[in-house]
Amino acid sequence: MKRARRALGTLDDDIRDHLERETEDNIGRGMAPEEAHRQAMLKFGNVALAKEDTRAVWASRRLDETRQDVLYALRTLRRNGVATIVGILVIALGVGANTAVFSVVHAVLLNPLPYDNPDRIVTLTYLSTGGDASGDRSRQVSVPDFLDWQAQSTSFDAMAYYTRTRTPVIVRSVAEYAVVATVTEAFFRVFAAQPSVGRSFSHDELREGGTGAAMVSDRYARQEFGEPAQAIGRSLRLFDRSVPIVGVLPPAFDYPMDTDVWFTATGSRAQLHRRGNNFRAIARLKAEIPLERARTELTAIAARLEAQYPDTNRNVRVTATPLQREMVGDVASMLYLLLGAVALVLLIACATMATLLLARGTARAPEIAIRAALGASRARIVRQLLVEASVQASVAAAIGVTIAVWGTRTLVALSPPDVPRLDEVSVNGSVLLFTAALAAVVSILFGLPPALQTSRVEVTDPLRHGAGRPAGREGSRARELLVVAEIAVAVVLVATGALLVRSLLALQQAPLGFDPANVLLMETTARPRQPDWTDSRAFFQALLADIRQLPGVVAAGAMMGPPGRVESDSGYWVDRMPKESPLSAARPAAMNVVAPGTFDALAIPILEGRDFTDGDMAGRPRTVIVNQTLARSAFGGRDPIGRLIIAGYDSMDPMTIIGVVGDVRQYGPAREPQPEVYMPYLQHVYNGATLRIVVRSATDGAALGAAIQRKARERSPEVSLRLTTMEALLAEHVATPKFRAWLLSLFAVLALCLAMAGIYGVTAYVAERRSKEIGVRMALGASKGAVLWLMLGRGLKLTGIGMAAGVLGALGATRLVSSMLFGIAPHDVVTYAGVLAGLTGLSLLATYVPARRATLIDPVVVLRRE
Amino acid sequence: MSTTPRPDRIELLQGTLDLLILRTLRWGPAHGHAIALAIERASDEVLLVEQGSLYPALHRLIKRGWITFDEGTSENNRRAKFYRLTAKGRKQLEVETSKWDALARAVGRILRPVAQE
Repeated sequence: MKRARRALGTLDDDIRDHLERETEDNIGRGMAPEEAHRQAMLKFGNVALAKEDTRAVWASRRLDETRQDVLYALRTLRRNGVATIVGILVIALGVGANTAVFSVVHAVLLNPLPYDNPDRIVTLTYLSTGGDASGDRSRQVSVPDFLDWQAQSTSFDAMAYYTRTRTPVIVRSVAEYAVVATVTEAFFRVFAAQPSVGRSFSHDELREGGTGAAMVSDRYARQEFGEPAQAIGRSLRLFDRSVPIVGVLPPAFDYPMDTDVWFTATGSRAQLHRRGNNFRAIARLKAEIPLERARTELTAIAARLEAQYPDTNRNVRVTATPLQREMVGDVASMLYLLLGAVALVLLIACATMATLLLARGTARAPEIAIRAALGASRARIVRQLLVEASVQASVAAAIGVTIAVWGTRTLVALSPPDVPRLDEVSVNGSVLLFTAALAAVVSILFGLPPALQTSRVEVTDPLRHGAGRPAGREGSRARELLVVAEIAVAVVLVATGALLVRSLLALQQAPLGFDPANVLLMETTARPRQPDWTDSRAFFQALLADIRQLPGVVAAGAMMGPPGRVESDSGYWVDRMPKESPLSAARPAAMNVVAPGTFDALAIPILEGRDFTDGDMAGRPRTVIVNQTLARSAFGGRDPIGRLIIAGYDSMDPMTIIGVVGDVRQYGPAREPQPEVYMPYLQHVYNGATLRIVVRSATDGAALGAAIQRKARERSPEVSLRLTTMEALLAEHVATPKFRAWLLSLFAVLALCLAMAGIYGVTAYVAERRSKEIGVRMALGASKGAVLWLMLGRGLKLTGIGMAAGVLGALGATRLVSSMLFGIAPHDVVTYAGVLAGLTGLSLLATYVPARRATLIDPVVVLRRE
Repeated sequence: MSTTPRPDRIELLQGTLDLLILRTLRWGPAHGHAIALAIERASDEVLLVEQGSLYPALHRLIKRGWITFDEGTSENNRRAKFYRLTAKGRKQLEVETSKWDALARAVGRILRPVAQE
């Protein structure tokens, strides 16, 4: 508005000049100077008003008034009572919690992956079409299938497969576990990733039987060599090969999840089985190809493969999924659950604030009436009240952001390990934008109802009665509606929280089939030097003997997959291999390899037969132990001991069953025990050189852990060790349920407190408003009990309506979380009954306190007050 | 001095005053006081305009782009704003004038129907 400044700049001078001229004219007409000036002033009129009106021409009226409103709101903010301050803090808490959860949602779900055109990157996974498993995706694919997809498809720029494993890597002379991704040539092309130092793999390094090479992550290079450039040309030993480091990836690249070393897949591809589903596939869609077209093409290819290989590929389909969706997986539903829950908390916070403002509106009725009397329209008053609300919301948002910074850190620290990209979580610009938008929405949510209510004043009414007279029926009707809404939302949150907590408890109490207390686990890799791997097994045999000598050791063993982690599964046959379609006739079972003493160490009962001994070794008849579920499903009631099992694990030789052990939940506490085959570790060496040593100690095993590690190092300084406890391993399984159960409970408690405060407030308000009526009743002989019931009944009615609405909402909401529930139905009657009983009790209490106070009214005092 | 004018009177006065200012400036640039005097004289001192209300009107016309102003020095060497019509203002004056004429005729017909016949 430059024109305005130029025009208004000399307004004072212009008017002074005008007056001087008029005065001079008057003097010219023969007036005395003072009289001349007086007449000039008279003719001109009110100078201040003229100036003000002139300025008003330029000021946008609306903006100007809004500025006044804001200034006024800031002034009243300072004058606000404790109640409004409490309300602002409640809103701040709600906005803060929402901001914190949103910052995680933003980083994990919304922010694009830090790769070139990340929406073009897809994973290729199997999609089952037959039977119960229809629609299930299986992420592990086989190389023969992959090669056919690659050869027959035209939708992709690049396609690669890889495996990711934690394995010992020897830099210089020490072997430490590192995350190694074994990748094929197109892997980096899929991500369009370039090394920051050095080069990519060459053709010679990549081809089948090629020389091989490694690339390392920026983090790994710094950790091992001090600087990325220093890593180039050094050699690493992994998978029994020594390969040079040719490149270092930029810091942002560590796909798949936390990879330290990328290694070339140079193994022979010809021998790989079509159902050897041990690889993950990833691809980059061509720029112009929509995802749906690629999916159609893949489906057609899979159908061709099914016709070509009916034995292995029946009902096997393949689909493409955007990488980001694949990465977040189940995490997305959990994060949206949390976002929904905090949003509900914020809604209740808004209702609380609206109630407080309604109360203040009553107190401010005279002020509003004066404004109305002076000509302010209702819209003008509503606007002023809304501006006040948005000033309050802004203050709350500012406090909320502070809470969110702290809350985001806490969320990240507590979050379960399967949430990806947590290092990218921060309260950044996008998050602040979200907060600002939230504050705007919130200010209308809590500001509009009281603004509409308060602005509906009869000008004369409050002015005649003076301050502090509560508004009419409608004021309390609005409050009651708000309280009903609060209770309804609280029911939704409390019911959901209760279901999740009960699921967690059920999960923690699920019969595991073994005793995790006082069990140490040591992941140990002993690289074999001899071609038949006997030296690696000899190491474990000797180490177990050493460990059993240590004081405090109750039992010790070793196994491939500890309970909760299945390293391999395969089909099995009883007695003999069928001639026709052997793979499709096989029943699936978890495959495990164990040392003698392992069942004792885990306290898994041997129900029939015997444990393995060191006599079950290479060259002796093959023996096997099965679990109860397998024995029951494969042999019915008959005795399985002495029968034969053939499992496609490492050989098709039949194995004689020598024992049956109790079931354990191999896939974690959430899943029923599945059939499992245990094979003796001296007869099955080719599972890899890694076993978990399992040690049961008499007491807490912290000191023992150090002793076991020392024994291992004494035997061989080259082995890689990773010590943990069985309980820590189990905790990983319940980390996610625990996280969401605790957070949801926290939100539910918050919601409950606010709702109870709401019902307390409305009862107190009604008691105050009806104090005269109560006084009259008591003067006419009503007992205290009758008055108490009058008040309690009112509160209970509100609670009842709120709970009824809440139960309807909760039935819908808990259905959404049914996939997160364990051992409990989403409409579990006991949970609902408990929630409703608890809420009824609490709201009775919240009503009783103010209702009781109402009965203490002295009728004489009340009646005389008027 | 004066009280705040009633809103209904302002409306009428505003339009009229605007028209009078535009008419005055048709003869060339003038400063504020001169415009006030011209309006007084032109209406034979019948229309007693409060001079102070001239300024909001002037600024309103500047804002609409109907008049503009130059900083200049007046006859007795004083700095003053000289207001003048813009092309847009000139066109507006015709519109306003014909509108005013139409209104005046209509009002006249209602007030003195016989005399007009």
